[in-house]
Amino acid sequence: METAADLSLVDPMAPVPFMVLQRREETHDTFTLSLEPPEPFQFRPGQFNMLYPFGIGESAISISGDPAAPRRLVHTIRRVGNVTAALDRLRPGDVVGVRGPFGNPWPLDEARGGDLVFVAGGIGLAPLRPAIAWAVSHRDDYRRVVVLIGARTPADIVFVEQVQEWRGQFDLEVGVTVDAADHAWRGPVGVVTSLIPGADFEPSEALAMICGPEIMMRFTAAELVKRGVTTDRIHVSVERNMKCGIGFCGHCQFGPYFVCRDGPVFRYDRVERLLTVKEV
Amino acid sequence: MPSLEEQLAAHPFARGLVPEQVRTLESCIDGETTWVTDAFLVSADGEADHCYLLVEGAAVISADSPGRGRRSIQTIHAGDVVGWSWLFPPHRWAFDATALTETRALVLDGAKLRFAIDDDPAFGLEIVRRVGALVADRLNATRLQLLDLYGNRG
Amino acid sequence: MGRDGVDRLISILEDRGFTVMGPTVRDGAIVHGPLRSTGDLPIGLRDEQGPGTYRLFERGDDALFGYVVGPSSPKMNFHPAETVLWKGSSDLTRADPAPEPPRFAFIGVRACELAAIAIQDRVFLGSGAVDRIYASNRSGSFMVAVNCVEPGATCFCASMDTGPRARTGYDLAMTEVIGDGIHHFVVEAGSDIGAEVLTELGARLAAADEIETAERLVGEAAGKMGRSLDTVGIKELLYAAAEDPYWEEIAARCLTCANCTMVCPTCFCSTVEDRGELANGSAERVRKWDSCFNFEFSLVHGGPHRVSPASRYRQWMTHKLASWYDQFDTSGCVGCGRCITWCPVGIDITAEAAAFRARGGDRA
Repeated sequence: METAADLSLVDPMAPVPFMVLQRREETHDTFTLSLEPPEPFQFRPGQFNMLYPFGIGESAISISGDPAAPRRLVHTIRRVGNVTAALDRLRPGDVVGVRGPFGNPWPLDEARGGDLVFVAGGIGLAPLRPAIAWAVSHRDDYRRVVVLIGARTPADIVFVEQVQEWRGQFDLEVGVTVDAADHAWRGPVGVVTSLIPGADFEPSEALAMICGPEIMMRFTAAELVKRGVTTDRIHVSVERNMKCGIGFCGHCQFGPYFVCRDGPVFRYDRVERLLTVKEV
Repeated sequence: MPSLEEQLAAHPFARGLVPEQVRTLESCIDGETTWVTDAFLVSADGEADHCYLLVEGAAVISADSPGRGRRSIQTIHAGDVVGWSWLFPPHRWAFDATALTETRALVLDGAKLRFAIDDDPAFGLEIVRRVGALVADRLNATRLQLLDLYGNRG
Repeated sequence: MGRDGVDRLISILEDRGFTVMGPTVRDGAIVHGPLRSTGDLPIGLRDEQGPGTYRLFERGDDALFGYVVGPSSPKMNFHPAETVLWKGSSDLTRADPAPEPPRFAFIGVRACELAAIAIQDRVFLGSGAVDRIYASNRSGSFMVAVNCVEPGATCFCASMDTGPRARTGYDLAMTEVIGDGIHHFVVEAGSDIGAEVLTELGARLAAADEIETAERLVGEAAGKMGRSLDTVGIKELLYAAAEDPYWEEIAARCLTCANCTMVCPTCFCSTVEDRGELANGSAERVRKWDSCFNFEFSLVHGGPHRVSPASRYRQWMTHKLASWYDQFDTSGCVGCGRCITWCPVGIDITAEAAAFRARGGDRA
């Protein structure tokens, strides 16, 4: 057994201290942390990190910042358990452990030359934001770029200012719809799938990236297929329990896949069946 | 501006009808209406004597409840249809619909439509099919909203 | 060589700096433990195994290896049930010293266990990232295999093509031969260091008929397996059965106790536990074995993905016999039979595989 040499490399299980630069409230249960990496942090849109509030535990969180800004690592987090609650207590100057980046990115290269359709549900916009930022800064590589966002209520829309900014761009189609609103909301009401029939893209040349809860991704994919997008041109980001991020702990198994290593971004035709079998 | 007949023929609601059926549908036209922003297309419990085929703009189905204000439920866009209560007794609207922007629709007379449906079963089947699809779409959309589609991703 | 040869082997390995491990008796079962001499081995014992049962009996001879595998395996040393991954202070300065890598020598390793180690090697060393803990424990280990001549009632290594003869992954392989006034071991080397140790042992060269007898005994063992599992098309069979209601029938018996995953020599899943030390403000992250049968295993906010026992049993069996091929290009089952023996209700993976095959036939 000759493996000793490998051990001199960085320990992928050791959290690296990053300093909290900024914390901002996105919605009533969601916040964004900007972290200062000890050295420039390179990642590809769609990848995630394991965040470790000291002594509490780790949580897998998608990177939600701009890949062109490697000195500022951004994570958008929903308070759902004790680890995310501990992350919520972090303030500028505090230290948080980071391991990563892990996982496969959105296929932005493959999409070149065609239309890009992003469909986000709720906080599913967070893992898509780096991809949208990338598309915006490489706008010439794509034809039409469509961003469709669904949220429960207007108050649940994350990155509001950024969404407004995207809306202001002439070469970006941005649609936002909510499930429920009072009359002050002037935008569409209905689930995000209802924006697909009217969106301006060419189905045969579009590549779609969907992120949201599984049920939302399934219905969205079905609606895209109705428009004529084939399932091999639809990509989804799958979420599972993760402990290690590198395929050793077994928690994120999803049929034959390890979501941490083979995902979290999957081509839809490869997981469509798994998404419909109960309790996979 | 195209004629009302041309607009009707171009509306998705008329898609797939044979020319004779389009003519029957034309005979139900009761003009067109334009609403300014926030004007009511229909009011809950009002008499559902018309069917509106949206041509321009958008409307929102909503309900007003004391103490909770007006809640928007679903947005209807150009190319869609507002209302099916004209088809089913007691022919009263169940919800409000207001214009989100300046909105224009072709108006079909509910009583004439009902008569034509009874009079010509082939035409009737086509219309009932369309309304059925409309109801199914809205029901599915409402179910998805009920599922709280975005609720559990952290 | 005779029993004294095995004693010499133990001292040679100790002299070479190995921690020598082998089968020992503890709490009425044969488990891995430190060996100082053959006296620590379960001499003259045999194990009687069946679904949900395990008993030790006197054999009536002095056999050193007259039993098959117990609940433990070298996995306990290579992929320990509990290890510290990281320890540090609140500024995340690391405080766990790099431990001196152990060097294990295992005596009495069975062919199925060597196969299981080869599978865990793929999981932890050969699938992209390298697991440092496993690599450190595994590196420089020395394996003394024992070829099985008396398979147990829950054994099916012949079906899984992993035994009863040790084929690769050993440094030395022995066959114990007991007959009329004969009790000796036929030994062969499987590596350079194995050959070195064999030379140092100074055993006499085995005669042709002695080798022939040993070969015959091992060859016959393949036909004496207590169980069998038809692996032809097993992956496709189980994938197609994902929504078969029969999983519910198995689940009606399954206690989701996770015993099968604890005794399985290839199961590798783990979780991480965070422990804080209030006294000095440090915290550690401890990796512990976990099991896909545990309710929290698939937990995400909002609840676990696999709630029903049926879905958890399906995950385990489908992983073992089907998705393992997709992940690691090998079966995850070596046919050791531990999951059958140590299941408190005696669920038998070979019987369940056969049941799905019969049902698959019905479906077709």
